[in-house]
Amino acid sequence: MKITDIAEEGFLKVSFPKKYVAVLKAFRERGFPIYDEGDFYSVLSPTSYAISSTQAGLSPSEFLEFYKALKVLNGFKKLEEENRIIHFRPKRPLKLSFKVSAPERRLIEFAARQHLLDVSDYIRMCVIDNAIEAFITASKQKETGLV
Amino acid sequence: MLNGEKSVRQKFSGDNMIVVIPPEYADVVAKLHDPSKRFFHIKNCGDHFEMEVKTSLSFNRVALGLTRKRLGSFFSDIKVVGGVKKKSREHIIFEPKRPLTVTIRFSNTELSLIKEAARKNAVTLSDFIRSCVLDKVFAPEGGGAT
Repeated sequence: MKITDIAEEGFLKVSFPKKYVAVLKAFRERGFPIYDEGDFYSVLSPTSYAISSTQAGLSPSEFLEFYKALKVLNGFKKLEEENRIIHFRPKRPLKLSFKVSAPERRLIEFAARQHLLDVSDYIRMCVIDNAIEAFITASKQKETGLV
Repeated sequence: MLNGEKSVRQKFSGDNMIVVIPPEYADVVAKLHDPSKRFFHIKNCGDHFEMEVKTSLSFNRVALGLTRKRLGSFFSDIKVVGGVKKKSREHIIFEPKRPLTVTIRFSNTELSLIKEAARKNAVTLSDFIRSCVLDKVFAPEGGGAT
């Protein structure tokens, strides 16, 4: 099972010129699908992620050039941590609500503060980590014929 | 009204869920054990026990050393303030009232992943999200992965 089986469209798509071929390794390690599109490579991701200059194997000035050359579809790019990290974030047009008790909300707010995140980012991190883990487990089970 | 239930209702602030347990179930109370007090803690109030519960909980009949008949009596005799009790064949489940709504934004693909995971776990989207978040909140390392 591939990540592209989950949804047909709406993926966060990052494209960059082929001269940055060395950077592909950093994307490949995350298991994202990579496509060769003429002069560009394109990488699809279902959710937000970040890449550092160290992971990309680029010097600070090359990393800045790489950032400028990046094209992002269905999302945004942002330079952070004194230009050492590029953060990719998908557009999030869908709202989902769930109910909690007052003590549960206080606990969630406390845990989010411990992680230096706002409540939305903390909840998203918990849920998406779990969903991706479930997806990877299901994929492995399919590969090994367990399901 | 059960001993203690009235006083609990009077002081109940509408916040934590409180389970009022009659004194004849002292042996069961002894088996309800949460040393870290992360999920609940129990107070002996003389004529009854009060279990203050922070989130939804489920107790297994065998772990509590109850016969099916006594599980039924236990279920009938306990009172819950600020939440509801439910019973299956082997479990008693406590769920707090959840009056607050939390709204989160997701991308199309994030939501597809979440829906798929919820479907695989045979739970609703809300239950899946709540369990992911609360499992992590209550994780022993104080927020680590579960």
